[in-house]
Amino acid sequence: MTLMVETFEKSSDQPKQDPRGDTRPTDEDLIERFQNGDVYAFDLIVKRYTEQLLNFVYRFVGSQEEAEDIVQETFLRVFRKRNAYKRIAKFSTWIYTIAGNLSRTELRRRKRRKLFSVTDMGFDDRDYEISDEGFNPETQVDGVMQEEIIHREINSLSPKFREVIVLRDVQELSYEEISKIIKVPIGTVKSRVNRGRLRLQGQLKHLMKKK
Amino acid sequence: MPNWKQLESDIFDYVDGLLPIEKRKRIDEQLKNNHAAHEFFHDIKNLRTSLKNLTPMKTSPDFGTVLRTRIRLEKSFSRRAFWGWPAGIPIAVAIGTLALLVYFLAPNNKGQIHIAASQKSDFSTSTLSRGESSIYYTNPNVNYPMDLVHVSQGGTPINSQSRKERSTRLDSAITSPRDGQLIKLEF
Repeated sequence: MTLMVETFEKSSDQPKQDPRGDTRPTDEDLIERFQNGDVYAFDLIVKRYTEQLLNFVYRFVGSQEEAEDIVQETFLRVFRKRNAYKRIAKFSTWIYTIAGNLSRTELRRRKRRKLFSVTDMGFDDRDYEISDEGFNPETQVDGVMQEEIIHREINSLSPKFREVIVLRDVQELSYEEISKIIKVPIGTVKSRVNRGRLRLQGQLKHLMKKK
Repeated sequence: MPNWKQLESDIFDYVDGLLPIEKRKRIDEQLKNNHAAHEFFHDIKNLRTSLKNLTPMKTSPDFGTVLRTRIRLEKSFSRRAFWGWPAGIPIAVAIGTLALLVYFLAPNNKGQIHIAASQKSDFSTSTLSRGESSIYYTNPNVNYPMDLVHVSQGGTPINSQSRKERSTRLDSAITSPRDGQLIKLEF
């Protein structure tokens, strides 16, 4: 995706000095500029958050196509409702909340549709393969297969555990931030993360032993 | 022997880097002496590493194009809005109002204005169904047909023969008067 980074740098507004001494504008600065009409600030926001939002949503909903659609819708909502953001909260919390809500809506919609397809069980439209009892999971697997197995096991978690595991262990957000995004107490977040990890640890024990 | 649940919780905090230094040292001791705990700790640590190192997803080649198109549509849509509202709401209200006006003011096939079925007028003792018009008006205060009206104080009944004759003479005087002719009106 080509972005307007060069145009942003030529903008008459000079980036504010970050407290860390870094001249890179903070997310909060960018959204404020966007609220004041600087569309190139929005381009930068899109650049910064596309990959991480896509990762989060993909791991949460399990489909790349739907994940891209949800991420685009998230940016559209940021575009549309830019003035709804207030600087009292972190911008990342706000955008992740939007993405999380859209993802949960999609999962609920999927559940209501009650469509069942064996291809949904696989990884990116791969056909579902009935497990072969003769297959030994402890045989060596390459990195790609390993990731597929991990992705499948993450997908097998219930949404409330899946979401926090992805936010904590994949996206590496803090417990405080996750608590604000999904609007549950920190203790509940930690409890869900630990239960999710326990479940994954049980399913992926054979893979973990190889490391 | 420490409670396993508590130890499990401490190991999770240890892996998350949330334990204070003193507690970390105590856990290190326990892990040295407890093989199951030691294995569990390494499983969780490796799990975290695996999840952290999952290959990041890349967008499809047309992701940017589609997003820009959607934003462009969003911009043009919001530009057409008036009063700060999304354009759809005023348009829907206008169409709805127009439809109501057309329904209530448009004449029906017989040239009469539609009367709502529930309306009752002085001329009707029965409700009209939609689109139906009745030329038969019933007034509870008048007896129909007029031939049977009894006029007790004299006067000429409306449908009497003499009245018809007078009306005919009057009509012909009016429609074809001779010059200078006085038109005598008789009642």
